[in-house]
Amino acid sequence: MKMHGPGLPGSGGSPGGTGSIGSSRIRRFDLLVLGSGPAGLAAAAAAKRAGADCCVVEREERPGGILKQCIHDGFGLVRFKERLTGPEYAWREIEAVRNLDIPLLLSTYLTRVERLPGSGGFALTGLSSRGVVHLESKALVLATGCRERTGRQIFLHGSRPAGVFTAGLVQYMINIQGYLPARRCVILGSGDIGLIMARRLTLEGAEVEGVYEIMDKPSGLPRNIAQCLEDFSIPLHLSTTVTRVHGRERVEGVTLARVDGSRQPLPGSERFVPCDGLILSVGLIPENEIAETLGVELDPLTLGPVVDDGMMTNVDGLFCCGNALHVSDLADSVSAAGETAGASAAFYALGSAEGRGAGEEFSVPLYPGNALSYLVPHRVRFLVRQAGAQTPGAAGDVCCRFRVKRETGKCRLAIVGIDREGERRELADSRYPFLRPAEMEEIVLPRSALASFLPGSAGPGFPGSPVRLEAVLEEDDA
Amino acid sequence: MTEPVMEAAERMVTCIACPRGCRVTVRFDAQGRVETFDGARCKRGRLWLEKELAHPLRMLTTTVRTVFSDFPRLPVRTSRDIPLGELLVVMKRIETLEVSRRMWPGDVVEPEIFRDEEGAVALIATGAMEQPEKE
Repeated sequence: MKMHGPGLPGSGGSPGGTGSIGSSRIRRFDLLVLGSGPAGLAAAAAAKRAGADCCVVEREERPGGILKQCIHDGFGLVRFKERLTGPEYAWREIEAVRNLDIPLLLSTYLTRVERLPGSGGFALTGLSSRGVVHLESKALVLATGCRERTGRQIFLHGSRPAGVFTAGLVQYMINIQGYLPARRCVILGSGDIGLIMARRLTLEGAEVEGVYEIMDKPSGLPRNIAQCLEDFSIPLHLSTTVTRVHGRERVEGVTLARVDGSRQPLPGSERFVPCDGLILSVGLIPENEIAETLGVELDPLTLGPVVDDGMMTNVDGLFCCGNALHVSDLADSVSAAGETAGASAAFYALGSAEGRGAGEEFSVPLYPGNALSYLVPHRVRFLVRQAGAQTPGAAGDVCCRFRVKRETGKCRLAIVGIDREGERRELADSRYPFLRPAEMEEIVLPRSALASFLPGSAGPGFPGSPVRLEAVLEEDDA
Repeated sequence: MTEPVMEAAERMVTCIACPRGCRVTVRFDAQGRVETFDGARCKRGRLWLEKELAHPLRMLTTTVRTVFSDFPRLPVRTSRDIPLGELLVVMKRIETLEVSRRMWPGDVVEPEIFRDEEGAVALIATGAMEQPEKE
């Protein structure tokens, strides 16, 4: 089978049934994956291995998502026990999908995604170089990644000259297109993308005058501060922000000011720095336009969909994984989450009436508690088994992913179940030498712990049944 | 900068032997040799720091110009870490290269982009220069 060719097989013998809308065929699959970044690729591979007929839809010309432009290394340490660059990691995942004969519909931009009435499932319309594309599936996995926060969203004042870019756009311009966007620039935001671009720009001969961070601590990882700034003597200025951009046609400089404890500029602290580029590294937001049109409930903490432990949203058959669900740091954990979503979506799509009737399922909410800025999944399903019924699949241990609100030393995180009477029982715990907001972490909630919490055929109305789960953080005293 | 004021014979370094990223204060003696560490929490870290201070090495990742309009820059990396002080010199050499055939991850772009006591360092392709689908 082809390894290097473009993704779409011919119409003869292609997987999925076909129907027609006028002169266009409808291609039907058990499930469709939207996005061919690490999340989508892992989801498709897992779905196919679980027996589902699937297809990946990608708006770009080539698969791989954001990894194509992340040319630095540090990827794959967990998943492959190797230190790979982004493109190398992507290639491994793309090869896995191709080896499973999963079609990759590239250069296909979806213009409409709708739920099918009656029997359920989804209908998608897209535009590609081959014309209009019609697709249908029983399940849908959203792996659409995230967007960057722009100057608009952080209320940057001034004229609108050329030369203001987000860090990810700079990465695309340098690494994919081969353009150097500025010769002397200021970077606002000390997140990892900004730090990585500070190094990249310097290597390509641009001058990075400084990295400026409004908070009193850098938001990127210590190893990036070391390898991107200290290695190249690029200064990091904390508690400082850009208050104005100058220049009419092109950026000519920025005004910087120190800020107080409430992040308000301190009068008299302003200074002007001449430059021809301002690069913004001020945050990422999950991309969920499609999810919103389908009525998906979003979590205000993550800005991604609310999901259960199978990564299913409140819309039946609609799943979400990767940066579209919550912004992650490691491609490795995105791939793992994608596998969960893919297997779960496959089970849903292939599920028969007998599978669903095996028992009564109910779910309880999982709350982040006071110490975490977010915790995913938001709900954990419990199955009340009826005697003699098969256990439905996709109900393994629950991998919970979270971020802590503030930097913490040695600590212990526990997942506690609380019942109607307020009785608390610890279901899982994990120790960490430290926790940082910039590093997403995991805790596993074993399925056996959930099973033991719910003995026999107890259901939601029974004493001892959990009504909610909560994460509790205990810091060790130094 | 909010770095603490240091004596001339001291430096603050971030150990990256593990994800912890301990901040370590390194004190040098009159001859510029490492005298003490303060803040390194493990032996592996101390060993890494000694090597790092004597001879800092880094992986260089960048892109090379190609002749293909559908794939103008090929991402590459060095075959092993090279001295931090040589990165910009090697970047200048890479600027002179041009890729004229389609390459895939692992292909050798240039067999010797740098050389030291340990031998030659090659430049390896990390991207896949697939042709986009024909219309």
